[in-house]
Amino acid sequence: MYMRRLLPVFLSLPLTFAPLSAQDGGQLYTLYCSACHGADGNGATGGQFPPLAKSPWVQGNAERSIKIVLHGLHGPVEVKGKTYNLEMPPQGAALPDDQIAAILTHVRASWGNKSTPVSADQVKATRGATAARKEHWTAEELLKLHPLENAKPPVENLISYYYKGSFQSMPDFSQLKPDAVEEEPMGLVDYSSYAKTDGFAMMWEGKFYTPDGKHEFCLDSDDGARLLIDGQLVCEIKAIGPAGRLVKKSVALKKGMHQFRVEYFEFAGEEALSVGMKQQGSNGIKWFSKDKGSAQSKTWPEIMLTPSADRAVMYRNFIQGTSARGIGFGFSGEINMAYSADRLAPELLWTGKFIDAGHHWTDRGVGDEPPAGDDVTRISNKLAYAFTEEAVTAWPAGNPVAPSFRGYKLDAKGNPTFLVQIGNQRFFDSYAVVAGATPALVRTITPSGEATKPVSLLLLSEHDLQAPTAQSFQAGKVKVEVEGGAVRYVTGNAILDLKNSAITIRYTWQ
Amino acid sequence: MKFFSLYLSTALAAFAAPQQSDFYQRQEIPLPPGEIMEIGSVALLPEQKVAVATRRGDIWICEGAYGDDLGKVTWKKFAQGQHEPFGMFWKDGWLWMTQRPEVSRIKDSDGDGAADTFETICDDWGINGDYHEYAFGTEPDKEGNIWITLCLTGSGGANSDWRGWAVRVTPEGKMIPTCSGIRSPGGMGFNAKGDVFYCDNQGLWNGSSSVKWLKPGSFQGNPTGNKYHTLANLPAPPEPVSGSRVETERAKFPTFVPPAVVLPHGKVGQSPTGIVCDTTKGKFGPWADQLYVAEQCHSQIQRACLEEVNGIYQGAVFHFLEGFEAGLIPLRLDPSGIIFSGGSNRGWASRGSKPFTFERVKWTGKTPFEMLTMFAKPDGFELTFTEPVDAKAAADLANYKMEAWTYILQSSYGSPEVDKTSPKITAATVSADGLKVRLKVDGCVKGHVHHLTLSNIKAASGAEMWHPQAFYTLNEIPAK
Repeated sequence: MYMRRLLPVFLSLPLTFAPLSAQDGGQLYTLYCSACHGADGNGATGGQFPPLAKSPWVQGNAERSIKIVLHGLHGPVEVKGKTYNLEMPPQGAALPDDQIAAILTHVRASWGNKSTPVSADQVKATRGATAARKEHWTAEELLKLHPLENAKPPVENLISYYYKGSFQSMPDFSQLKPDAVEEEPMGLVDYSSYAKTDGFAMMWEGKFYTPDGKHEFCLDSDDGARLLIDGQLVCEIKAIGPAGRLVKKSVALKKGMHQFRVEYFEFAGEEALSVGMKQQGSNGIKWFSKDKGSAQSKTWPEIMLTPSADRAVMYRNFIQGTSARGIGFGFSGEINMAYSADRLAPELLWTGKFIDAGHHWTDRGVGDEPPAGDDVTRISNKLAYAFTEEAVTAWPAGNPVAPSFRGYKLDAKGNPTFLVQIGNQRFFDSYAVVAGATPALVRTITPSGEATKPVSLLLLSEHDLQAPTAQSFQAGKVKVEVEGGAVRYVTGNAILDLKNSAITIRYTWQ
Repeated sequence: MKFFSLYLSTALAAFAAPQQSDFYQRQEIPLPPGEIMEIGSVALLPEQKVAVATRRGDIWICEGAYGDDLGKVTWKKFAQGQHEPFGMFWKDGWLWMTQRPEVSRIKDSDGDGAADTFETICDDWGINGDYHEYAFGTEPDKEGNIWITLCLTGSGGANSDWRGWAVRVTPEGKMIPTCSGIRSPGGMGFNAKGDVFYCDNQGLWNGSSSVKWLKPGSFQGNPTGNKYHTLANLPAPPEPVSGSRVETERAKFPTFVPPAVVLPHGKVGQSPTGIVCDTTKGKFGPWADQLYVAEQCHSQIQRACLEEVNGIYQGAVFHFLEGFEAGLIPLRLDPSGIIFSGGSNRGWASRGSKPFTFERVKWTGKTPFEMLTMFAKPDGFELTFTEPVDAKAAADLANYKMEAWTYILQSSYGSPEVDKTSPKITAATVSADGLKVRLKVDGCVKGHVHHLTLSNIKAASGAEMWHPQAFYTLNEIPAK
């Protein structure tokens, strides 16, 4: 009953009067490190941040962790089967050698870690040797310099079996005699030493560890492959064919070791084989193979944004292919656009899925996200308004028209009308999808107010123009048709001179 | 058995230890089920409604957040798809916000409860796709302008226009570049007089995080974005020498305004964010005109008591509220005496272990025994207390301890505490009413953080002190 109230008193006593001793690694850890790595070393927020407890990164050769503390760590890092993409700020300028030594000594001897102490001299020596370094380290760089000693191989006791022969489907390995059998101490499925000739099959067997949970396995191969866990078929690619035929399946597994078996055949041509597992709750893939399937290597969960039946969905963020002030709209009918509020035009059009927000909504959200759908057509990448007199022989660079983006209105279905202002003249630029056999994105530009000078609009730039006429043209799979004005073409740009009347532009897909 | 009874009596004596819940009631406000509410902005609306904006760009309006029964809270989604708004307020029927690409104001024109009109007020600063190019905005100042701090690119570069600057945006959308030298802001606010402050985070050219005063025309210490002065024909900001001290460099450059109050890294938080001034006239306790500073990493709210000496702000920071459920970002204080805060720990960890939170804090009406203020004097400091002190203990020099230090002003990340000294307290004079103690100190150092620790000083009533530490940033030593 009294304990809850007592605790803070006792805890605060040492803090009140004993100044921090440079040797007290535990206190220093609590002060500077625990917010992210957790008081228990397991990573803050239930492991949303990298754990240090039983992490091979902080054990073994201390150089690795001294360097991370001194200069920071940037980019993705895999710790205990989970990939993190955060930012470890450098502490070298803030913490002296003896404090870094004390912290690392504490970390290396806590929470089940059992590594040797770190001395201030060691930190000093590393600091001196890396004094020229200004950038954060990347995990890849550090692993080359200081491979993880205590890391268990992804697959333990892995043995590979190699079979020569011309296989057009998966053979029954029990009927074959291997031409070579090897132990694979790296614990990675790797065909590369046998891939000098076409025509072979391989099989790997070993054991791997998982925590409790429903884990997602993935397999991709050229040619066929099968993944079996505890003797059960999990993923299979049967036929001859190239990589890119990714198969995924989630399997509930109990904590502990599980039997691992991969079967593979290569008929002719290219080879590829990637096998991985995404642990429940983890964003990253733990690879069992030397090949890492490139299409599957993103480190965030998918959060696909989708319009509802009666309303478009909007996404202001960094969309790859347009400017940083991108505004994405996903309309019903699987028609999507990215409008640039810098350059005042729809710059990307695409069909199918809208966008995966998981990238920007996970960790710090570093980078641009490409459209998720198909046939992404970049129709424009220049400031879309210019004075007509400047746009006679070319679309002007260094455009003096200075239009301003004034925002947008959304109608009841979430369709936008952007407002662009040039002097006293305003242009209302509306978008809506019209359903039908050939769904169209219909854009209406309505001018208002007095023009000081006539203004032109760029409809297409930097794109292969097909079938140009005064009323329509084609850009990739997108057909653009104009009503209320005539398109003119200047050095590959499609330009519309804006008058005082409304113009309608229809974008359709062939 | 003897041991046990001794232990028990110690426990009973400690029973009176002050607890936050004695003085302040912290409550989580229920969030819409299933939604990811990583709150980056809070705005107080008429009729006791509260709007929040999330890092995912959703805007929600909450009813019932002021009520006694938080079970009755309801939420309505007002907008989606915005770009990480950090700073939002309500004015004349519009919700104004500073989001990454622009200042916008939005409203519901057709009365269906969702925003349909989104006006871009100003988008004159640069962004290039770097996630760290955040923009934090204030509520309007006395002239109606919004102040915005523009974080550096990647927090260490300035690759887009006006990165590393504070700008003002008029209601008509004109952008006025106002201060240089900014690194990585976490939030902004005003003091009672209407001067503008922001939090800058430990890192390049910031030895520790601190609360800084955005005096118009000032330089805040980080020269990375200096080059943009040419865009507006402004004078070139100072180029301080790396490896120096703020105190040294500001003697060379009169526009270099030192941090008003340093929040010593690790000791008083690690990632300061939102700032509000207590203008509640006593509805949140006796801390009139003091600043509350939210803290993301430590999930706390600190209390800062500032004064102006020789035209420069300086003052003390005290630990205050803690135990919030996630890393706090925005801070709002309703005049009725309710703090609203929210936060997230996505990408930046926090002691509060939930991924996001929305909370309120109310004063219980009971005042803790605390140092109310700490002000600089020509020969030391003057403390005032929230209630009369036990005069005997407060006059005993053994009950005070002071250490002082500063930080290296340098182009690398952060700084250790350097140039440490131990100023000696030579006299502690208790006022007749017991509310003040005048400390005479030998060896105060201009430019240093002065860390005062009190021990064994109780109130005359017997109450124990809640937070016996103060950290005073002594930019100027007053002449009288």
